[in-house]
Amino acid sequence: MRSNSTVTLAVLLLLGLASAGCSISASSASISDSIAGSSKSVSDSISSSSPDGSSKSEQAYREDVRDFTAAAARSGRPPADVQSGLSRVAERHGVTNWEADAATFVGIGEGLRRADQKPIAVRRWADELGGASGSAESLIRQGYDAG
Amino acid sequence: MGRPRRRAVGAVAALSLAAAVPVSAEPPRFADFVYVDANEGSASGGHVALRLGDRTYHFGYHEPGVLRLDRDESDRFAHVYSALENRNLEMLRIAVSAETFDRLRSSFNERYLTEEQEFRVVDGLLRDRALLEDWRDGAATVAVPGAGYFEPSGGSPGSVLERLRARVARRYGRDVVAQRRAVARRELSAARDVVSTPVPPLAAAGRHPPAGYGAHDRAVDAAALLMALSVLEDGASLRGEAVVELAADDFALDAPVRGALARVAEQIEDDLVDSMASRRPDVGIVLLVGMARLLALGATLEGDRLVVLDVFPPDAVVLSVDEIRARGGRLEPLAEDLRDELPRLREVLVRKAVLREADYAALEALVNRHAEIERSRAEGMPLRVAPGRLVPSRVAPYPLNPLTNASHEALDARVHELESRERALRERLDRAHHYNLLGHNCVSELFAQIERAVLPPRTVGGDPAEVERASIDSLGGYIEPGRGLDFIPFRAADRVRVTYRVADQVRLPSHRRRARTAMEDHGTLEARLRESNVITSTVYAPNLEDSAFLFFTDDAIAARPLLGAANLMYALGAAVVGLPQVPLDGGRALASGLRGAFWSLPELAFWNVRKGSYFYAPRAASLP
Repeated sequence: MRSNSTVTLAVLLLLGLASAGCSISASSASISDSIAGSSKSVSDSISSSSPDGSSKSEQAYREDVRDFTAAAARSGRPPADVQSGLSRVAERHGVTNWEADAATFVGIGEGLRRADQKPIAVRRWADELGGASGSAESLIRQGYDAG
Repeated sequence: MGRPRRRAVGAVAALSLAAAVPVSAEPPRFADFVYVDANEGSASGGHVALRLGDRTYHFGYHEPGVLRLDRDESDRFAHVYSALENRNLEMLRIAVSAETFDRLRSSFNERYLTEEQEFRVVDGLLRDRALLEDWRDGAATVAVPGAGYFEPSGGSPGSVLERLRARVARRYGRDVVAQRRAVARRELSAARDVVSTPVPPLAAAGRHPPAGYGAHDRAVDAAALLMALSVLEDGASLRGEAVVELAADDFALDAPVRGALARVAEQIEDDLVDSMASRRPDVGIVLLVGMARLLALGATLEGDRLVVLDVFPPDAVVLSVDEIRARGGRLEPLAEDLRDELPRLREVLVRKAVLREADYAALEALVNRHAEIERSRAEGMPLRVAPGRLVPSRVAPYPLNPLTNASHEALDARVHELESRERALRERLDRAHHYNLLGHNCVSELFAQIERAVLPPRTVGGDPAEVERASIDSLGGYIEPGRGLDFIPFRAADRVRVTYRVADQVRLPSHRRRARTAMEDHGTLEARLRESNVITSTVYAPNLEDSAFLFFTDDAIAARPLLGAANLMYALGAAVVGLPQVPLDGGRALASGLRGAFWSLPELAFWNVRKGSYFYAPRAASLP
């Protein structure tokens, strides 16, 4: 099947040129997948699965916050400019009130560390994004120190 | 590097791995290069992806002709391509250190999130322009997420919101609602004054762009806060059609469940009180969603059935039952999957000591999907479909007063300015992400991103020797992006096999092959004949999405040209029959016949592309 013959390659090239050679996003085959969501993995993803008691879904959320923060901080974006993007990141993980989720601030701290930000940045980001609970700075610092 | 042996010799592969990567106490890490077999439709020439643990990254074609990084949960990726699209998957497991794995995953993830932000800025400019055009033409309205859960006429104050209001007053004083309302009104004016606000500059290419918080989003956020404060102050009832109820037979509300839901309600109430002091510009949406959830939880705890918000987005795809049948789909197995998951999720919620908002959102989404399918089955109602996570987003309109402080000409000038900014941004994104089958496709860009990822920090753009050295150190070899015929997926897989440190190979056969192998009479002549064609097959139901064909040829190599000829004749016949039906079906049958003829041609030369696809297939076991 994987012959390198010229004929085969020519056929493949023709086929490739005749259609999109890469997967088209949101292909119709995945519609039934959308009906059920990822139903089989829902309970797995929110079960505590790590030694620190966090679930897979929480770890995935924290990782996205970390990488989003790192990319923004590395590009010199100020914390206030990051808020709306952070809301979108959180929403994709089923979180609307990201200020009430400790994973948000731990992720921010980890991201600041990844972006080689100085420790003073912890205070600045906590002041700008900290919300009302008052625990943001210690959580960001916890993420920064562990990151 | 020679070809590693396949899965059957995993033990030997593991030994070679131990010698290849630095010894450590950590379990071995793999970056899996995934080759996806060809099939008709998208990715007809095959596809490639990089699986990094539970996430799989791949470049996909997006309209209008741009190549963007997509991300899927790995099990979902395997399900979509191997089961629903019925393709064979081959995973080439590249042994990497923990550091390289982490660097690959962060790099791909940062790029994915940055690209999302880039394209969101374009969407924001579009929304701003539409709003300014409405203002210019008279009046404008914005759709406020979360506000659509409440009766517009208010409603009885109700004990749930009364308690929240009392707590807010105790914490912040009785004037807090008036103070926040004044802030929201100022914000709304600022949104209307956007005509005099400079458009944010474009970010340098490849850098994280500014958020682009424009007129539309400001107006929505301000309107959301005003509406939320009205709900808090005046009370409101939930709209009947904005909630989903689940009978006790489907979700028993026993004492442990009630306890867990009561804890969720307490947590939401605490968070809402905190949110009144939030400086988030979109806090109004948080308040609306939180209060709607509180009301739903209140109804659940006071009643005998689970009540959650309707969380399908306004733009959910709607499928009729007939359409699902025409695609070879049935609702029963989908419903069964969801029904089985409900008690599992229930157990997790009861057991968990600390419930996050996302945990409750998972319950909401599952209940919504389950109820949607059951209603469709029972009443034949059209079915709403939405991918990914579902979060409450039901909208209500908020009319904005006509703009009084800007002339028609000033608004017109602003609209043109936004148009030109949008065009400039689009052109730059098109240049950066332009899809080109030969030079910039899903394969070449995957290798380019791998190259960027393995470079040590601050060496991007370094000399080629350094790039090659970094790749050899991290992956065992170097593949130059876009070189020769490596842009073809199967050639790329061959290149990876002989270049990188591939320690193992895992093959995941297509759904049809797996289903055939699992048959009791597998291997008998009768089974082979029965499953060879779309008419008598018991593991395939004709799918409207597939082209017209008669015989499967992916597992019939010797007879392929003969079966291909039969497929060609069958498809041409289908096209002829479809011709007079054009006025009735819009040319669907004709197109199916012509596509069928086209995909039969490679079969004449022993080449198989078409494999059929499924509307529904059960999920396979998780990948290693």
